Amino acid sequence: MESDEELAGRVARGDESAVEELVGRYSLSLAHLIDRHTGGNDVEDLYQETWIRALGAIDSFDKQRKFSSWIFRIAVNLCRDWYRRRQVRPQSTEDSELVATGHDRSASLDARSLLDRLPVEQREAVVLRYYHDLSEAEMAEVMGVAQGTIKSRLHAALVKLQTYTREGGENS
Amino acid sequence: MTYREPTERELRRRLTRDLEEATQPGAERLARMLAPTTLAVDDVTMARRVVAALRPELARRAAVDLRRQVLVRVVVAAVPLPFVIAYAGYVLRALYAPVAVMLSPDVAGYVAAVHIMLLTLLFGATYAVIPMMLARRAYDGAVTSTA
Repeated sequence: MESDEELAGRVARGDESAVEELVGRYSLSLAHLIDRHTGGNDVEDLYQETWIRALGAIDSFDKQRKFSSWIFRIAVNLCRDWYRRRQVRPQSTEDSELVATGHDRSASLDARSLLDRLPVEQREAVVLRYYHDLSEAEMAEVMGVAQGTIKSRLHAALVKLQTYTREGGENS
Repeated sequence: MTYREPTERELRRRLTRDLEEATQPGAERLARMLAPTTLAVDDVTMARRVVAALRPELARRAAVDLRRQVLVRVVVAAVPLPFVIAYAGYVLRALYAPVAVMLSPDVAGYVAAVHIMLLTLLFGATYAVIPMMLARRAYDGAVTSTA
């Protein structure tokens, strides 16, 4: 099977089948990353913009680097721009269109509301680390910060999440 | 890379990995709260739309790549051309001398001109085949990928 980096080379030469393969490989992970990052807002627009930007910049992609980190970084930067442009909090959990499977609906709402309460950088760190299982080095590349910053953001996020879950437990 | 949503158990394991020992008992509850759900994103449709949106840019890139390939191959193929022309000229001169003895100068000139035109046609056709073969290969590739 061709690697992502080899496919990226073919994409740069305008090979449509390579694009289809690459988009197929990342469709779910990118869509979920954006969805969790923006709280379900403008997911399709940001998803499409991610690929358009990626294709526009594919000539500058260094094949020695991981394609996954590169495309995630584009998506994360677009999500950050989206926050700056909109300057809004993600939609409330009551409006979100979650479909819970395997867990009850309240549990799914809890997950989103918990993430929504975190600052953007910390939410980003939690999503990449726990939902996408990225290493700290990969996260540093995606988020464009030092590994030490990743550690501190994760730590702060986990402390906050634990406080929120304790609060939730006490209130219920 | 095949992505799939982590299970609650995987989430707990990942959380436990990062949580300090004193706070680890909270990992289970946290994992339960963060447990992945199926989000309402139709990634298949989105992927299809993305490919459609990228098509014009891909076509532009493919055209640029084809032009670049044609140029490279024509340049490489043109390298021996001066030697071939010099050799053809030598052969023509060698043939013209005996023909000019046997025929009138006008007819000999006509034969030489026809010979030069045939050679030009042959060279032209040879170089024209290069872009045609590349375009054919690109077309075959596109047909195979859509099949």
